[in-house]
Amino acid sequence: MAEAHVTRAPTASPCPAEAAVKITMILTFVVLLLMMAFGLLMRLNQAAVVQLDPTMFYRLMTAHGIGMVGIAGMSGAAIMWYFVSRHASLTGWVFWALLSSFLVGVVAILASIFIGGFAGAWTFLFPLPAMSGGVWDTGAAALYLVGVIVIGVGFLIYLVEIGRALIQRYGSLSNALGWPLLFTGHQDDAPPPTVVATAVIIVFNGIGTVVGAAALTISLINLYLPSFTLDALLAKNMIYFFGHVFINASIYMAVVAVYEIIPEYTGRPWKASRPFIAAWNAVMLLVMAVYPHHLFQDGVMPAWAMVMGQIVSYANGVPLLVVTTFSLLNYLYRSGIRWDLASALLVTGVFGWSVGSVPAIIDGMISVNNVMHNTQWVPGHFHLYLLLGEVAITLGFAAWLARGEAGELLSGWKSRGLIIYAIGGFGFATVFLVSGAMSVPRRWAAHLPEWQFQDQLGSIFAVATILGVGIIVIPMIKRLAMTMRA
Amino acid sequence: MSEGRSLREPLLLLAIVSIALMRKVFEQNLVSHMLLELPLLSVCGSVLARRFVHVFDRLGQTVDAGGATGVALALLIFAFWMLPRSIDQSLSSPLLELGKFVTLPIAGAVLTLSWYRIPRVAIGILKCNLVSMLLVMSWIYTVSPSRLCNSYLRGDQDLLGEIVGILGIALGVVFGTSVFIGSTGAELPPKISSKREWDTANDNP
Repeated sequence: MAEAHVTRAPTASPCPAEAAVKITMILTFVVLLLMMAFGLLMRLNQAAVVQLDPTMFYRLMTAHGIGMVGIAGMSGAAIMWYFVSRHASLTGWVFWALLSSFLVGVVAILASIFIGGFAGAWTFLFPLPAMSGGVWDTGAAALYLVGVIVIGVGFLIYLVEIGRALIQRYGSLSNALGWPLLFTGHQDDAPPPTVVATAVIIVFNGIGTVVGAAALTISLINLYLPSFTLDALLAKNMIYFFGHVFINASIYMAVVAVYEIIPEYTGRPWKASRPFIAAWNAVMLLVMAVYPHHLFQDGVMPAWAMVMGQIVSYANGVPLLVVTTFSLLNYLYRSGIRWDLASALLVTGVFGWSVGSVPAIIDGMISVNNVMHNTQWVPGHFHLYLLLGEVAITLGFAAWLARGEAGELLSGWKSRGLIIYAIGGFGFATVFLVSGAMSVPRRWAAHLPEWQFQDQLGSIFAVATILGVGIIVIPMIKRLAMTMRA
Repeated sequence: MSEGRSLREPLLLLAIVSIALMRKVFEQNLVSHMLLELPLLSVCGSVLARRFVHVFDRLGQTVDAGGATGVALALLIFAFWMLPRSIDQSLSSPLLELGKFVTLPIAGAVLTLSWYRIPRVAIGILKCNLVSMLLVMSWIYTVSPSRLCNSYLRGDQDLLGEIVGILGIALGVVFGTSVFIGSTGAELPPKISSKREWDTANDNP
């Protein structure tokens, strides 16, 4: 094996609230494993291996959805915080505030679901929280909405703080976005890739969070004052705009780890070239314009919005995949990279992100969406994208954070854990995609016997995924805890 | 400029806003009541407070660290006067009307006295909160199935909701645009904690 190239970032500085970042990573592992167990239970129920009450199935589905989206956002936020602190001066208490609001929100959400019985799916689609058909009461729905609002407020403070730090360091967001370099070809203090990506993310995620908070507040008022209503289509647009932007932001935040860590292995610094800046700036607009592809089944949507959703779906994935995936391959080629758990997981994550985008682009065509929208094709896409994308990058970052001085290579149980996780995750998502192609519906608690073979197969892959992730994270938890005590 | 002369303009402004004739003009419809009278009262307090920033500087450092006390008090007062019930009752209760003319200038004053102590991240949050509250207020006033103020017509309420909505969007655009415009990349000075530092930083004796 070639000799390792390890270089430190030139602007490395201590990360404020580093302990909070490490706690977030440990929390991420615990939540991931718990939510994966919930997912396995749902698949086993569909496979008729276990019998769950349908209301419990939908409670688990709600918890699984909001838990995975929340922890993806939280882990992504931790990664971005850690690396932005290398380039701008951040205020430590802000990340502690985010972590605290997240924990308070999680307690409220879990109580609303498992004590109050809320089972309206993580998307809290208006006016469903107020129309439970007797399954949950108003208080449970309100507690759920308040929990999500509390988390949203924490994220808003976090985004504002990062924006403040970037403006303080670069003078304005346009400088942090690299606009002078993009439009004139010259910038004295050109931002590194992490700063460009972060500036893009805080713009669209900030807007998305505010829109989501408005939808949540309106839903909350509507719970207690039903005569105060919002146009249901407008509410759906607001919620899906927020949801789409937030979950995309979670993976984009995590991708920052690839820009910062991979150069330490390859010895080739990741540069913010004009195409790189152009791609990220394009994404800033595209990620906000593409959300109507979630609403193709709403026939009352304006035709222009539908057409925009389809066209932007083609365009949205391309810039980042080109500048990140293609560049990664370039940086890796003949670099003599030393493969350890961190580097392997990061590269796996970029692979999962890239491959996972393809089913979304296919489903972003109206003619395909008419057939596939309510099938398991859609969970196939986002499980591939998140399970082998965001989760893999997060695990890679944590492995890097918890690495020892010796620089252990990828072998033994680490290697086995990675292989089991990758096969399990890929198989699990593929079964969803194949089931979707066979028109197996999504979000159904009970399945026909004809569909149960796929459910059983999916359950086996789910067990493998949990096993693989467990093997990877348990030593990491120990090591992260030790580094916090040191 | 002498202290007496420097107080003349804000006190004159407060007097103009307060006289019965102007009150009648402002309060004859909901839009001017909410969007002219109430902000003008706060502006009066703010302009007055600017003359006393040095006087309260030392006190502020002990009781208003980070501007938290002032901001909390100002937000409480503003929140109270955002309620339709408060507006309605100020027209029928002289005591509440007096309270309005006392508390809103105080809110403007304490916000001004605290402003340079507030951390930048908190200013960002306040701006986001202002925009979102204006939009929520706009929604409440326009979708309410009934009149929220007995003293004003339903049409006034709808108009107020629409104007507040436009105001919220406009402020959002202004705040949003401002973060894209700035210097060429030099580090900004650190946040200051007292008026003396503020004056030094601004070369303002």
